[in-house]
Amino acid sequence: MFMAAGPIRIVLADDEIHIRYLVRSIIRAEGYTVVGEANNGEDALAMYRLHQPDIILMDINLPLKTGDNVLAEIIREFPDAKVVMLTMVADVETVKRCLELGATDYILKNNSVEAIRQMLRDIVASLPQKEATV
Amino acid sequence: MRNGVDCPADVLSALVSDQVILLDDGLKIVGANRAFRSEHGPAAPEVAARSLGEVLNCRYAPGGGCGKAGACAECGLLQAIEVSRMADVGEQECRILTADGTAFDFSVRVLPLGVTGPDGAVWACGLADTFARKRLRALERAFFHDVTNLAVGIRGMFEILENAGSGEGADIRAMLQGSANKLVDEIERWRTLRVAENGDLRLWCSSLSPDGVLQMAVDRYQEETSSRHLKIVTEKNFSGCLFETDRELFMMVLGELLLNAIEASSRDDTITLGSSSGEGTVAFYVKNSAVLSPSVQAHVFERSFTTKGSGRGVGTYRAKLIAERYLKGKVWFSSCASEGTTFYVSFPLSMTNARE
Repeated sequence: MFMAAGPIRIVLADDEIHIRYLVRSIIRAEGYTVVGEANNGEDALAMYRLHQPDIILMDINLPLKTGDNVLAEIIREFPDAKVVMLTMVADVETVKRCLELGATDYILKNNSVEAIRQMLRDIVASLPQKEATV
Repeated sequence: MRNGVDCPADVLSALVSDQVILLDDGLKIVGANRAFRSEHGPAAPEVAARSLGEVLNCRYAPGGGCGKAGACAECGLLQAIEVSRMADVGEQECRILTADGTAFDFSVRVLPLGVTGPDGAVWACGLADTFARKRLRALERAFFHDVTNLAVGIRGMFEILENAGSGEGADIRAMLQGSANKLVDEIERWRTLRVAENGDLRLWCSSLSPDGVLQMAVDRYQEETSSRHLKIVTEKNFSGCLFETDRELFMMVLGELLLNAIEASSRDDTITLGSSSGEGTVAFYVKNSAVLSPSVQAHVFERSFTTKGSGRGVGTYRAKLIAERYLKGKVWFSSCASEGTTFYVSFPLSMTNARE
């Protein structure tokens, strides 16, 4: 499998504290690092600019600035950014729009933990390989 | 009509179930079909020569008619007319809000009639009433989103709990408790909205201390504020008096305004929650530093309006509905660069003596 080397650095943006807790737990259990968390769109954008992570996992329905707007700004500033939208099934139309705007992928929050974990692994596996850190 | 039968215009007018009006270039009504007249005025003279905003008592039309206020640029009817100038048929969703917060939702189709009246071009405007359908759709979408979101978190945390160590297990159990409480609250908020809109809310009034309810609100939303790194400052200017209201509905109103401020705030912001007295009234305010754009201000009390994406968020609408229709209160707001945004809600000290 084509895996990215080195620690995967992730920014997590969701306005629901329990969703952040859940996704953070999954990320950490996989050995990845949460370098920043945001509960609104403006902070998500600021976190991305600050950390320039390997991946940002971002809810679509964020206050202050919606996830699709943040996505558009991130892609404009960082065309190679890996933005993964966190969403519910009900947001499917918005997901389509996000993919058109440049989102790398999306994760359905209403999946089981195991399914979310597998989606995250698949996304990480698709990342360009980092320089070896040996 | 070739090989057809001429159909008198008044017969057509009577048969069309959607409301149809003819507008001149000054946006005055120069004709209306039976559906429109039966809904908004029994005879043509009562609607003719007035604008749609005046007929429906649009909050942006008092004395000025349509197209005079800044907010009119956001009006779906006017936008549809502009489109029809270039594209023949203009179609838009249109919401007209009255001064008392009632909403008229229409799906608008505008066609240039191809004739000229005394005041220039004439447009035929079809107004399909979409209020009930949109209201139910918005409610379903937001309800299922919010409730599923919480339920997903609870299920996920149970899955994680199975493999958690004792330290993390305690954290997860606390999160589960919080999420379960929020789930129940969320269902109750949506149920209350549904019942309130149907006009069926029953009040259970008791005496409350303004200072006490401020503290209750701060405590109830402690998790929300701390997780977002926000500070809440209370200004208690109303000591020693009680006011009479329905505790749960009041807390829902204040909670909606507080949640609105929480969601509008950025990390490390301060939210001010306070009370003040007036003649026979008690007022509460929730202030945060964010400024609402004119576009947001124009729609802030609309039922399906939100800054979190389409179809979400009805907090300010719910607060206004419950406060004004049931608690004999008044909800309003101010927003400017120097002061930020403040939502106010005032109530009579006594429900019994309050003016209907």
